[in-house]
Amino acid sequence: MDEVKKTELPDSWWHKVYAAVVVATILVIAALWAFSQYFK
Amino acid sequence: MSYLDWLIVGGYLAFMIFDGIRMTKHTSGVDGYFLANRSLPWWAVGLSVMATQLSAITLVGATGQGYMDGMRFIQFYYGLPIAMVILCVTAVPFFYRANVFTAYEYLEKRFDVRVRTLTSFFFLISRGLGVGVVIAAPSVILSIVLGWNELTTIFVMGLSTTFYTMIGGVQAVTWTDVKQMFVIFFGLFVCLFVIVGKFPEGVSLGDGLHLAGAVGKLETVNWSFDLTEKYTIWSGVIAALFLFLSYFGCDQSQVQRFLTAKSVSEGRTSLLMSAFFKIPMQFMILLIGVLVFVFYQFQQPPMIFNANENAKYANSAEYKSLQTEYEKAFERRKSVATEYSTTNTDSAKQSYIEANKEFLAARKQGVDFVKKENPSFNDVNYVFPNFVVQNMPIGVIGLIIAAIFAAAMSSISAELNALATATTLDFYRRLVDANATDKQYVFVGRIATLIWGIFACLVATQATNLGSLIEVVNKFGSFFYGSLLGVFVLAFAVKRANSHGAFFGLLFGIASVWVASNYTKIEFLWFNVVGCLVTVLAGYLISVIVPERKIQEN
Repeated sequence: MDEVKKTELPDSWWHKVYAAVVVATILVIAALWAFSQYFK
Repeated sequence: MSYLDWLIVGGYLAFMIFDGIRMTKHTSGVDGYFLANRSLPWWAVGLSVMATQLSAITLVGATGQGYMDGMRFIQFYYGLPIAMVILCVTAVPFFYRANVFTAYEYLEKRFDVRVRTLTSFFFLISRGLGVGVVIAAPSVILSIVLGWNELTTIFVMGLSTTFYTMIGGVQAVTWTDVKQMFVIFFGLFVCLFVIVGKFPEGVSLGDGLHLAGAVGKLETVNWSFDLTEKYTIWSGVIAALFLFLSYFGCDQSQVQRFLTAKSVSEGRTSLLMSAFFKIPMQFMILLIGVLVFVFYQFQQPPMIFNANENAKYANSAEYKSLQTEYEKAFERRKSVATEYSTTNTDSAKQSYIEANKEFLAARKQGVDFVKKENPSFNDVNYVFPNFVVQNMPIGVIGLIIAAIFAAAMSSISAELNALATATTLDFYRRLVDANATDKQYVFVGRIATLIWGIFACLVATQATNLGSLIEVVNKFGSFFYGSLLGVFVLAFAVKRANSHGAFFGLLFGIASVWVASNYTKIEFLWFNVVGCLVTVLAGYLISVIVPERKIQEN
């Protein structure tokens, strides 16, 4: 178990992942809005 | 149901119970039974996180909401990815590195035993009630599909899940969750394709969506900043953000999931799975409800979806006359819906919108008639099960019922396991007997699982008439969640916060939610914001005014 724990990913990598989550969320909401406008 | 459907449902249930009770390896110790020795891979934990949240309520309630209200409920989930990022930065490393079994144990390390006990107690109340509602949802379906007594259904459903959770502990919960998620996804995809395949000839998926869009069923963003409006982008991004922070970061049924991961990184990755997949998944579930609505433009839906209520008034003259009016309104709407979907002109669209209004008014008269006799009557939860039983082909009925079972059991098991963990470790080990052996704690954990299972079944017997079930669960949560979150904000982010501040801040927070719910008209999602802000503010002020005496360790 300890060996696995040593493979923690660095903070810089996580910051990129968090940014990707935020951008993806904005894109998904925008896509859903476009979807509802198209079929309105 | 046909023999094939029975076989599918029976086979699913038997396999899940068998699979759950065989997960007893390495469960003799406290670490193994409650945390799976922190050995589980991120993808299993991530699926378990999603399965725990995706209960049968999500399938039954959300598809019903999709049918009645359209897609607007999806806005509730817009804050979820942001909540997950915040929790990955704060809660996951804090809890994991503190080496705790429960979220509330961390509060004792930061404040004192009072705060741990009080927060754990509130968790037990809100989750104990919540799991009752989670059991009620599939029981409603079974009572319709199988004609079983609702009471019997609740106990059969609740106690069978309790049984394998009690034996296998958290490992049984997680690994059955993984399999149940596959069953759920498979069932949803099959359901989606079958509904579209049942549209009349010449009506495509696009035509159907235009019909739904014309009457506002596809609204996914509402910009109104009205606090009395239930689902807006703001209630999703701000108010529901607080709910998700609290649910995933302070509710033991979710915290326990990522505490079983192999490392902080794996715990974070498991939470981010939900950040990426939850909104699309919820979209698909609501879309099924919307497509059921489209299907019923061309095939007459029952005036009342609850078959039992329908049968009760079938011989009443007044009800029969309402039924006749309803049938006429349906025929008018069907005719203009067909015209609009083939011509796609503005005038046909206007006629369709008008005909839909008349249809809804005719249906409302039927609903009001039933409500005169049964004021708590709510039809939302009966839409999807009724549709499945009446319109799905043999085999698919069994598959969807198995998927609903899977959704229910995955949530029930995780929640019972969390309730048992908090009872055993926050109360029994901390306050009653700190020197018992691991074997004794695991035994207490199993007994606690059994007792909570019975309690949840009793709550479930009262929960089936409380309106849309999905909202009932969220309302239960909203009463406590915001204030619980406030205590964790004090712990993580407010250096000056002390145990007096946290303890009394929490009580102030819950009192403020009670006041907000009784004396204002704000929607329940905002209770989370009120509870959290009042707890943090009151907690901070009390901490400043009443300095802490030297903390007595143990």
